[in-house]
Amino acid sequence: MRGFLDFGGIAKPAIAAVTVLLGGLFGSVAQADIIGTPVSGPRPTLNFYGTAGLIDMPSAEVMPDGEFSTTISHFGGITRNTLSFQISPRLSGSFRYSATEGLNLAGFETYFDRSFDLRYQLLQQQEGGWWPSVAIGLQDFVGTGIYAGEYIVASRSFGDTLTVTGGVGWGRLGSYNSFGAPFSNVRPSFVPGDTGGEISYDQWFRGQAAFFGGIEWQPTDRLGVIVEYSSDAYRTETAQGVFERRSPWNFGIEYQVNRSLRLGAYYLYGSEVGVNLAFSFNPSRPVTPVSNRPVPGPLAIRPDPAENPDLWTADWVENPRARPALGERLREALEAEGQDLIAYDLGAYEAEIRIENTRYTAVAQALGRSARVMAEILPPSVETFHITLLDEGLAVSTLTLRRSDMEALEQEPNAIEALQAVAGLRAAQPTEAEDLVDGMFPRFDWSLRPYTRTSYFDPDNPILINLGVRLSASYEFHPGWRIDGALTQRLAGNLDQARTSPSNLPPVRTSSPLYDRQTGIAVERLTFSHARSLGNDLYGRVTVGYLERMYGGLSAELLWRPVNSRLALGAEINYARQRDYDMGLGFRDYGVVTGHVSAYYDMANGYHVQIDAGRYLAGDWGATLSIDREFRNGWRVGAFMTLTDVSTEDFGEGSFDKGIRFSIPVTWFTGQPSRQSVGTTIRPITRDGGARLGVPDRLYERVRDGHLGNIDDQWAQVWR
Amino acid sequence: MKRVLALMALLALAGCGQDAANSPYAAAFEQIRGGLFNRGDAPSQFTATRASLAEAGITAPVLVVRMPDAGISVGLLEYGTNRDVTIWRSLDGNTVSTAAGLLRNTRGFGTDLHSLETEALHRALSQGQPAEYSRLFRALDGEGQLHAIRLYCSLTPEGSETVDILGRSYATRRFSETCHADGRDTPVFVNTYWQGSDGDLWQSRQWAGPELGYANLERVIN
Repeated sequence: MRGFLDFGGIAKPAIAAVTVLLGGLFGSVAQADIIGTPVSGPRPTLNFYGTAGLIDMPSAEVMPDGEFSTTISHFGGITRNTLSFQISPRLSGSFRYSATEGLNLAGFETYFDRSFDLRYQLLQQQEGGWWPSVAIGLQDFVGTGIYAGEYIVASRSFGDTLTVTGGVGWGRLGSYNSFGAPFSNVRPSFVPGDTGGEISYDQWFRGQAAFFGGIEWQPTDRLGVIVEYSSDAYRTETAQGVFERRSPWNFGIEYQVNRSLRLGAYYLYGSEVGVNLAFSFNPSRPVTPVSNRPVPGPLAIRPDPAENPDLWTADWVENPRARPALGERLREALEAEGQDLIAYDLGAYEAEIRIENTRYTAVAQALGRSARVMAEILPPSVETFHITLLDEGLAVSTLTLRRSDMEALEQEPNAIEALQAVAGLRAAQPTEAEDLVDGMFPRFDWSLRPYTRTSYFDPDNPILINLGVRLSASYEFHPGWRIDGALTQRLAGNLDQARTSPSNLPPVRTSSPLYDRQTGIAVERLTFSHARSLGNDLYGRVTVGYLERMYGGLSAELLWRPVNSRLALGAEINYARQRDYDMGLGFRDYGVVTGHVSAYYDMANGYHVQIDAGRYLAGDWGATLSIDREFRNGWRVGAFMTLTDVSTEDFGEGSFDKGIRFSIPVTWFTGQPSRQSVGTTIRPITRDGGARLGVPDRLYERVRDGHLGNIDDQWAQVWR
Repeated sequence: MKRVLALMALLALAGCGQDAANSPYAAAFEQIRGGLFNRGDAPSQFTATRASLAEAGITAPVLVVRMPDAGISVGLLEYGTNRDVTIWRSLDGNTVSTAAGLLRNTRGFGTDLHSLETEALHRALSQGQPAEYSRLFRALDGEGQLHAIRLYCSLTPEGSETVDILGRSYATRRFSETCHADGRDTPVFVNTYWQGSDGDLWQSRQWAGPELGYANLERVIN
C-alpha cells in the first residue's frame, strides 16, 4: 500500500531477462568493460566448425575468455553441432557431433561422428602493433577422425571493421591445391568405423599442406560479410556424392541478433547454400544482471557507548531467559535469509552461530547476511561474531568477524577488501550437543521436483530423454547422521529406446539402458550416512545403502584438507553390488571392491585439478585426470579422462573413457539467489572400462565450499 | 495425457516441498510472467509535491533520485547515518548512500554502483576552487569479481545559478567535474553539482556506473 503519495519505484529486471531468453531483436550487442568502454576491434565470430574463424576455415582470433558457445551449421547434407569453450584467454577446446547424410561409410547411410579440437593462440595482435595474431590448431585430434586436420593461421585486423586471415593446413585442411608436404609425406588415412579415440600425434602436421585464407568485413556492430578460399577438397564426401564441390570460394553474410545469437547464410563451394546459428554465453555475462536483491538492510550500528553506557552492559547474560529468546530471534531472522540456524552459543562478548546455507551460491554472501542478522539482534556488548558453516550437519569452517570492523567498514568504498583483511577463518570444531537449537533434531525435509535423464549420440536418436518426477526426503537424527532417499517416477520419454552394446568386460555401465527401460517407481537412492570432522584437518564419511541407480553397497571416505590449503588428499573404499534392472531393492550377482586415492589441487585463477588412482567398477586399475575451470559465480566447465589396464580392444569404441562436463548456477539465469545449478556430463561414448561408482555426498566439494580458497574467490559478495 | 502434461508444467514451474517458497523455479516463473504480461506496468514516478509531502506528515529531508537511463524515479528518506555517510532508503527497501551529498553507492537498483570515492571531491568542493584529484571507482563484474579503476578528475566552478527544487528556488554555485580513465579518450563521466550557500548540495547530476548511467539528485527540505 503506497497510498496517495506516490514515492516512485524501480522497474523489475524481468523484461531484460525475457528479452535475452527469447532472443530479442533490439538489445545491445556491444561488449564493454567495467566502466562501459566498448571492446575495440572487430568481433571474433564462429565458423561452421564452431570455432573462431571465417566460414569453413579457422582464423587466429580468440573468443572472449570463458566464452561458452554452441553452434549448429548445415550445408550440403552435413550438419555439425559444436560446443566450444574458451578455456583460457589463449586456449580453446571444442566438442563436435556431426552427421553426414549419404556418406555410406562403415554400414551407416548417415555417418555420425564425434570429434574434439584444441587451439592455442601463440601471438596476439597488439593495439598499435604490426604483428598479426597467430594460432595453431588441432582439429579432430583424438583418433583418425573424419575431420582430422591441423593448421597454423595468422589474422590481422584493421580498425574496427576488417580482418584478413591466411594460413596453412594439413590433413583435411591441406587437401585442396596442396603445395607439398613440408614435414613428412606419411600420413595415416581416415579409417571409417575404427575404434578411434587414441591421441593421433603420429599424424599431426604430416602429409600434404595447402594455403587457405579470407576476409571478414563488419561494416556495423551487427552485420558481417565474409569471403574465403577453402583448402578442404572434401574428398570423401564428394567421392560418395554427398555434395558437389565446384569452387574453393565461399561467401557469407552474418547478422548479430543480440549479444548471444548470431545467424549466418552462405554460398559454399560453388554449389551449396549453408546456414550457421551460433549461440554464445559467457559466465561473466549473466542472463539477468547481478543485483543486490533482495536488498540487505543497512547494517545496524550500535549506539555510542559514551552516550548510552547502560545499553552496552553485559548483564543480560545473567538473565536465564535472554539467551533462548535471542536464539529464537536469530533463528527466525536467519531463516528469512535462507540460513538454517542449527546451533548457537551466546556469551557476553562473543557469540557463535552454526548455520546451513540453503540460499546463496556464494558462501561469502551467506556469511555476510548472517553477520548482519547478528548485528541486528545481539546486544551491543557482543563484539566478536563466529559463524560456522555446516553442510548437511558436517561442520566445515568458522569465520570470525569483529562487529566494530563491520560497522566501521560497511559504507567505506573499500569495504570488501578491508573486511577481508580483518576476517579470520579456521577449521570448525564439531557441533556440541548442548548448543543445538531446541527441537531442531530430528529434522525431516522433503521435496517433489521434476527431473530429466538424457542419453546422447545414439545412432538412431542423437538425444534420448526421459521426464519424470523425483520425490526426495531426508531424515537427520543428529547433525551429520542422516537417512536420504529419492524415488523417481518416469512420466514420459524415449530413453527406453537406447541400445545396449556388447562388451568384453563385465557390463558395469553398458547395461545402463536396461535400467532406463523400467517404467514403475524406482528407488534412485536410499542411504544411511554419517560425516564428521575428525580434527587435525581430517574429515570422514561412511555411507551404506542404495548409492546410485545401478549400484548399492558400502562406502567409506577419509579427506585431509587444511582450511587454507590448496591441496587436499583423500581415500575412498567401497564395496559395490550391481542392482536389479527394476531399481527396486534387489541385487544382481556382480559385486566388486572399488576405491581410489585422490589428490585435489586448487591452482588459483579458477582452475582445479584432480587425480584419482585406484580400482574401477569392472575391476580394472588405473587413474582419472580431471581439470575444471570454476568461475566466481559458480559456473564450472571441465574435462576428464581415465586410463586403466583395460586394452583398447577390450574397451571398444573410443579406446578409453573421457568426457566433458559443465554446471551453471540457476542464479545466473534468474538473478534470484539459489544454491541449485543445471548441467550435464557428456561422454562421446559410455563403456565399461574406467567406470567409477557414483557415491552421493563425497567430502571434497562439501568441505572445499567453506574453505579459504573458495571464500576468497567469492568474497566480493560478502556485503551483497 | 493432458493431465500428465498439466502436472509436469506445474512441477516444472514451481516444484514443491518445504522450501517451495524459495524455489528458483518459482522465482523464474514469476519473472517470466512479469516480463510477458506486465509490460504496461511502467515503473511508478516520483510525483509528490511539497503539499502532498506535508499532508503525509513527512517533515524529514527527502532525497529524490532520478536515473533516466534505468527508468528510475524515486523518493528516499533518511534511514540512518554511519559516520559521515547518510543512508537514504526507498519504501521498497532500496538504498542510496551519500557523503555531503556526494553519491557513494546504491543498493537494489539493478547493476548497482558498488562504490565511488568522494573524499577528494568533497575537499575540492569545500574550497570552491578549480582542482585536480583522483577518485577510485569499484565495481563487481558479472562473474562477481571486484575491479577498481582510478579516475583522474578536474573540478571547475561555473558561476552562480538559481535552481528550482519542487517549486522552491535556491541560490547556488554550479561546479562541473570531468573524470577520465587511462587509455580512454572520452571522459568516463561529467558530473554537475549545485552547491547552496551552506555548502550543502541542493541538486546534482552524478554518474552511477555504466549500467545505471547518470543519477539526478535533489534534496527536498520541507
